[in-house]
Amino acid sequence: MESRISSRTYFNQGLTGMTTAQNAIAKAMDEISSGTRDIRPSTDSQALSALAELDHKVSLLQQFEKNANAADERLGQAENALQHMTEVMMRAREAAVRFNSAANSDETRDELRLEFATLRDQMLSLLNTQDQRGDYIFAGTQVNTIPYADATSNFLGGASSTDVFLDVGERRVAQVAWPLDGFESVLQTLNDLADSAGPTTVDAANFANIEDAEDRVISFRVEVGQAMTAVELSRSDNEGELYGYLVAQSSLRDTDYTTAITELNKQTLLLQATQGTLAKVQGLSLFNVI
Amino acid sequence: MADFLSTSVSGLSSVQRALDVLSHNISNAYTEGYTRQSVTLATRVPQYTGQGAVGTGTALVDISRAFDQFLGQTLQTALTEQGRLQARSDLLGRVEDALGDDTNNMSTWMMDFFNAAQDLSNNPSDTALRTALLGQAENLVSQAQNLDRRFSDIETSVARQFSQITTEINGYTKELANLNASIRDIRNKFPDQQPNDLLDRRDLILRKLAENVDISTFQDGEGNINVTLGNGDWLVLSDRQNPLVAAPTGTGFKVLVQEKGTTRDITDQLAGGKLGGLVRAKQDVLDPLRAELGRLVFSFASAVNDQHALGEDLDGNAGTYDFFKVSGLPLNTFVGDPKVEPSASGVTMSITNVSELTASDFRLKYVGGQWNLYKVGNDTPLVQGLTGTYAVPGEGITIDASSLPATPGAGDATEILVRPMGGVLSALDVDITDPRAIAAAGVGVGPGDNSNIRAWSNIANSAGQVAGQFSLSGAYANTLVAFGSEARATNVSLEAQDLYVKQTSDRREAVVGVNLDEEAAELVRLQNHYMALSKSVSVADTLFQSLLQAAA
Repeated sequence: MESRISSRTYFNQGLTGMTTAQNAIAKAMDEISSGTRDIRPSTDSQALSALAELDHKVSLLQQFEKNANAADERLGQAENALQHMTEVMMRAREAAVRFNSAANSDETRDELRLEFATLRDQMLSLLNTQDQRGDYIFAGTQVNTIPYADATSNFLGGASSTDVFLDVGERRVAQVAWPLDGFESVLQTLNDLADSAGPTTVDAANFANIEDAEDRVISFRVEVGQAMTAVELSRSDNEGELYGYLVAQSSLRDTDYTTAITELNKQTLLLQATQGTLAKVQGLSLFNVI
Repeated sequence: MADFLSTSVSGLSSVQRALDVLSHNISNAYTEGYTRQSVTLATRVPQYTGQGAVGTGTALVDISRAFDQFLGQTLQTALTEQGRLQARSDLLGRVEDALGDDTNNMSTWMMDFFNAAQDLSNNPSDTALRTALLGQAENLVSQAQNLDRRFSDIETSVARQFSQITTEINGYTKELANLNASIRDIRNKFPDQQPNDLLDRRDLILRKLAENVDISTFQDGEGNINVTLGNGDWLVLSDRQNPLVAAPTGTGFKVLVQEKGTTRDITDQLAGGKLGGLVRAKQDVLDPLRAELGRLVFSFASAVNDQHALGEDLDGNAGTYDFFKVSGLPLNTFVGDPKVEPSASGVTMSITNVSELTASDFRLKYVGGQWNLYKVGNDTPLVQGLTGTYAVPGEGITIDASSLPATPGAGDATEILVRPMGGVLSALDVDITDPRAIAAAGVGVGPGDNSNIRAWSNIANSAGQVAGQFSLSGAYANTLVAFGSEARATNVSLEAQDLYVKQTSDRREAVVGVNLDEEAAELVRLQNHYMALSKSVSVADTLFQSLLQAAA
């Protein structure tokens, strides 16, 4: 025997169906309009856990990118100053060669002394290069201490100054600052040669000092160049890694439109059917025909 | 002939009565709790004559309601479980909303903070970057406080809900007591009759009550339905009710029963219905979650402080002062924890080993003339007769009970809750205001050094920061996954329970509900019956008239 069904059950049945469908439609619409899935701990805690890990990686790599930019900026400033130092040293060598020429008169020697003074000041100013913050870029970590107060002073960064490194990748660092010591003798030489009461010839020791300074600048430039290469290398590695993570992130976080739209259509159809059925069923009553 | 008339009239009045019942059914087809009523007709006592027993018509002997004790009881139990899951699911949903979405949560705030530290490492002497780092620290602190405030809001609204439900329960038990009295009165006055509508109403109230709290019912010899709570305390006894009392506590609520003029706390014994669901969800999910997140933040802040202490600030001072603080007090030495309840208890607590910290809560109870220490959720005491300080093994904390009264006086607490990590989210603060005071440099190498601030990235990225084994983001993910599985399990159970309640309710409705088509068919039948009886009356009348005319 068929069991009875109460009119109340009959009515509620349709109502429940409609509520369920309406909720599903609202969810699908939300996903479609926002472009992101509604990921909650209760619906997809695994995805959230994976996203937390991915977000961490992405954030880390994006920070490395920022660090790499900062490293480039600092290395660029250093390279620029070092390049000028090379030029200054070349001019010093030329001036020194000309200074020793037999054809020099007192007048031309004075002119050359003036040139030495200019070169001394330029070298000093380059060694004491400051960045936009006013930090001395060749002071290593003692950025507030002027490295060479004048042409006769020692390097003031002293023993306490060290190299500075930035994190530009996972377990990758790039050196961005060096205490540029060892330029005392060349500054002393240029200062001596600029002195009107100074030597009348540039001796071998003076040449050696200029040459030593040139070598020093070159070797620092090599280090700066190597650091720049290191930054570039880790930058391209980071970009590759970042791309992978971003793809994974998107696959977890972004709306899958095919699924969402299919779901929307399915649920809309279901709602229409339920509404139609409810209306029809409610119209069916024996009371209509007696 | 007179018999013929009265026999027909007896049928007519029985059918009229049946029509009354039928229209009552139709009227109440959609009334909550209404059960279908039906009439029982029987033959009247026959007239014994010399020719034999002559029937005298129809009598309506009973109006009864459709009733299924088993389905009713099953539904009532199912509703209790549904109420519990519903309340739990609602609360967990609100907690879930409070946690923030996947792009703005505790994990992302910590990442933003560490990224600001990395920015500073790029140019450690830059005060703008230092200010930005402090800004991120302040942001993290205010986000943690906001999160805690959202949790507190949930607690407040749960407490309000709790007192509403208690009021509702008291309303129901009051009505039940009254219904018991009315039903008994009517039965006394009319022993043969059933007060169907009152019985329906009483069943409905029982179901409403069952949704809210775990109850047992039993019927006594007088037909009263007596109600007790799951733990045995009575709520309704005959025509008397025993109202529950909801009393607020520091961070929530408790439920008391009255007993011989005194009250007794039964909060922990509530397990079913909406009330039990709320109590359990707060105890099993919200409190531990808050403690877990508190521990995470504490471990983070403590690690930052430890590393900070190894550095030197922009002016060459050692960074031995704290970067973060909790409750305005140094983090690693002592926490004057605001989550000791009641707060004026004389119990204090200190953190002695950050890497051992757990999310556990503790309870001091005055039992048998001494203070016993329990871990919440475990009935075996950790210590019996605690008097001084006690380093809880493997929990990273020391509890100091030396200021507790050896014998609590009147008005003193006899039960004290200590929630070591429960108050961290709200109490976290930044201890540094001057950007120059951030110890970004290593010791003695000058303001351009970034070695100490660079080391902060180890805190962000290495394992072992929380409980000695998890990274910060890993610990957050674990907490989220644990909460998520709990919420998911609750929602899945609720869905299943909803379905079960619906099926049980439908099955019961199939027995007791009104089917309008059925009533319509019955109406047609009664109408025909009525017409046949009317015809009988009219024929009896005609016969009587002809007899009169013949006699005239």
